[in-house]
Amino acid sequence: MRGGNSLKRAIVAGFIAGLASGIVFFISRFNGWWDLFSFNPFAPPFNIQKMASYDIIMGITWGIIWGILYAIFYDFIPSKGIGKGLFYGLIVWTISILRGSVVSAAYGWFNWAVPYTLSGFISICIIYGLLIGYLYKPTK
Amino acid sequence: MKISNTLMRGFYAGLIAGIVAGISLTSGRIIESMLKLLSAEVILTLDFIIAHFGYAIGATAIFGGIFGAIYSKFYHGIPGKGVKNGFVFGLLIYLLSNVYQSSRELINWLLTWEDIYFKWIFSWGLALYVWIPYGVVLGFLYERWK
Repeated sequence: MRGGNSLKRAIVAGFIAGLASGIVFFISRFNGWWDLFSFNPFAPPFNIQKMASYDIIMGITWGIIWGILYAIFYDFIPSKGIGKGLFYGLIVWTISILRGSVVSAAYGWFNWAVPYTLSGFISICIIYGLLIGYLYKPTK
Repeated sequence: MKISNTLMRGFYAGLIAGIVAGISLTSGRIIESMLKLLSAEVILTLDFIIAHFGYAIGATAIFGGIFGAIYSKFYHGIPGKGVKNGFVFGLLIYLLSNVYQSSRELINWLLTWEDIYFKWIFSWGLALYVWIPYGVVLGFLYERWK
């Protein structure tokens, strides 16, 4: 990681990008594809407030952690600016979401894994990636 | 054997490391079931072991290859060399993959108090025995094929 305020900048950028990503994940639950694959024997008995808290807490917490890692590996991520952020979002989505979904699908949770993967793609790969790429600028 | 293309070297090293990790994953799940740990998935049957072997080795090898290609890009940013470098990368994958999923189950559990989520916190979280062997084998092979 570069010196100066890089860590502080990464935490702030990660917080904002994570918050936005959490909100988008929550909204994406109502776009219809979770209903398309709705058969789920252990459907969580969440109400809307709990669901929103869940998505936003996860978004902020992991947004900060991913932001710190983004700053650490900044020079090794291909591309520049927003492209760099999108590339990083794709890596995070592959490791954190896609693999978890494949494991869950293999254990019989296919109906949950598909919409989770799609919502994760939009909220992490696109929204988080775009924002972290736009917001985080390392000190020279 | 030498592979000059770093991306392909990472992919092949990751593929083999993924097979090792898949064997470790299944062995770990069997031991967890035998010891009746909280993280144990199901009652141990031969069908379960065969199915789990197929899934674990197949899926972990494919993802192992992808993660290996990612490793080749971040190689110089990870502290240490050779096996140590791979070990640290394995821990990073554990953090981003298993700790992430484990924290998801933790929040699910805190919001619902459903037993199933409590069990899954451990099921995801205990799987360090997957990513440590993965990282060690990846780091070793990546260095050896230079």
